[in-house]
Amino acid sequence: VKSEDVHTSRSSLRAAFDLHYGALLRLCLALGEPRGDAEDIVQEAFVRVASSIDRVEPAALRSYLRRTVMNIRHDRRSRLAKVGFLGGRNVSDHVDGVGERDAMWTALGRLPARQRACLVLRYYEDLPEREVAELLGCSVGTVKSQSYRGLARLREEVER
Amino acid sequence: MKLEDRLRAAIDTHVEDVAADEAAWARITGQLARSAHAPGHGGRRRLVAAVVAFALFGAAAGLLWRSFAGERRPVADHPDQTVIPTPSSPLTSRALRSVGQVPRHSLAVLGTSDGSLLVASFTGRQLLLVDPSDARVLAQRDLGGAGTIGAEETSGVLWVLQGGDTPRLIRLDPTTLAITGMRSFTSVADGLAAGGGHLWMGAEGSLTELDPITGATTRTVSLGGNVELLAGDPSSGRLYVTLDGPVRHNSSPLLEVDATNGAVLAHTRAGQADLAGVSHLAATPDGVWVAEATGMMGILSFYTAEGLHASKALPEGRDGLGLVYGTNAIAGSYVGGHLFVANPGGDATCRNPRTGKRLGRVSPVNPSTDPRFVGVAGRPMIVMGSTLYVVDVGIAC
Repeated sequence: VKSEDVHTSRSSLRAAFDLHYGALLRLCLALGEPRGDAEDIVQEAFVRVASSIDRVEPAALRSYLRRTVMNIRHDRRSRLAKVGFLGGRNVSDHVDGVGERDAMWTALGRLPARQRACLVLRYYEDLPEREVAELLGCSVGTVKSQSYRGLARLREEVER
Repeated sequence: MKLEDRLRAAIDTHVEDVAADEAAWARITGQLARSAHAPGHGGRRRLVAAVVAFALFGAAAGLLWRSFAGERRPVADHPDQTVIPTPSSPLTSRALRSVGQVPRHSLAVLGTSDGSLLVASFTGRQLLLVDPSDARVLAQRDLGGAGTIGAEETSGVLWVLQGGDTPRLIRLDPTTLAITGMRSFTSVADGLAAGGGHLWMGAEGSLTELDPITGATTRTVSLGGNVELLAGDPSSGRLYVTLDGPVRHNSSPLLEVDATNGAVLAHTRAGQADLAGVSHLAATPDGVWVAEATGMMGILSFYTAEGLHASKALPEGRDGLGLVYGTNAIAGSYVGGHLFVANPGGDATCRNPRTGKRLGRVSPVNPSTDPRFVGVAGRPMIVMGSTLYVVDVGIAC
């Protein structure tokens, strides 16, 4: 492999890191991951895409990285669920301290993981329903219904 | 306000103030260097061999451990990470005074010759010129493009380098941010530095000298490797450059270059190439501070000008010896005659720029806000998250 290729890839990765790392980390945190886990997930995503980064269109890179992040997160959650650790890492536990200062944030943390993910991806990441469905591995209809239920529960909680 | 908007606002408020920081980059590059995913260093065979070797080693170590130690002790998660609570309000410190708000997670900050502060936004596409006394915006310019990766001022001209596939060098008026010129490059550009009134840009395999008034290429110096980091000291006219190769003895080349003619004055090796290598350079009149991420901790070492000799050990306990230890990556900034070190472990100190001796503490810092020191009219300031602070040197140093 030519050194120019190595340099280009490294530069591309660095540029992608500068542009997208913070946003991906905020996405993971919004999805309820503890800070350390969120960092691990996003950093692993950059390691995974490093070898192929020059083959990805710059305009599609954010989407590619987001998909990688969601896959890694899904894999990790699956592994944790298998060994029974996920129950102790409920997202609502994670956000309770912060949530005292904001009913909406607390309510978001109390939502089931799928509903929370739908709302975060749909309204925080501003993704179309089709893309949210692809990322979560469900139908567009499920995204619609989960988002609807999620919003309804948020409304109930914050207006209680 | 609609519920969806309230939801966005709640997430924005509560998601931690995070940015692309050098510690995270160091972990990524360190992991890449150790794995077969590394761009250009990959190879399925090497990966398989590494996995098999690791598995065999792990099995053998496990058997030995169980034989001799009995019950395994629990191991803390991520022992190299120090968890620092994110402050919800501006930090308070005797040595710091909050000035106001600037765009958070700026990609570049620069003190201009007329005493203003230039701030590039998080995406690097927007530039702001702010008054350092109250953070009032004096001028603003949307540049578009791939984002700012460097900014320098020479001869009353402000230069901004944008990265991406086709890097752009943009010439601006330093008082109004009006664009007065622009040129594009077809190859990768890495860093912009000024030294002795000369302007240099890092490029693939070379350093390019640019006319400080017109931006035209006036000289190209081949270096035998691609520029990774570039820093210049205006007073001494020295540039310091790290290259991505050739890597020998597990370290990367560090060069001292005369900014007036591009002559390489000295070269040595620094950083641990199989980990993250050199992560940051801070040029001073007497030499350069080199930050290395070692995977478990960051080390800041001093190399003298005129020879790049590594500094001798100084007796100050673990925090002396010419080294500054921190958690993973660490960064030093030379501002107003002092060396400021922001440790991602959550501490910022003021140090003697020749010896590294600690003179005082600036503040506890929030590492997730990527604290950046910058000199404005000779006065040290620090940008943390979206807050601009002025440092009281009398207290901090």
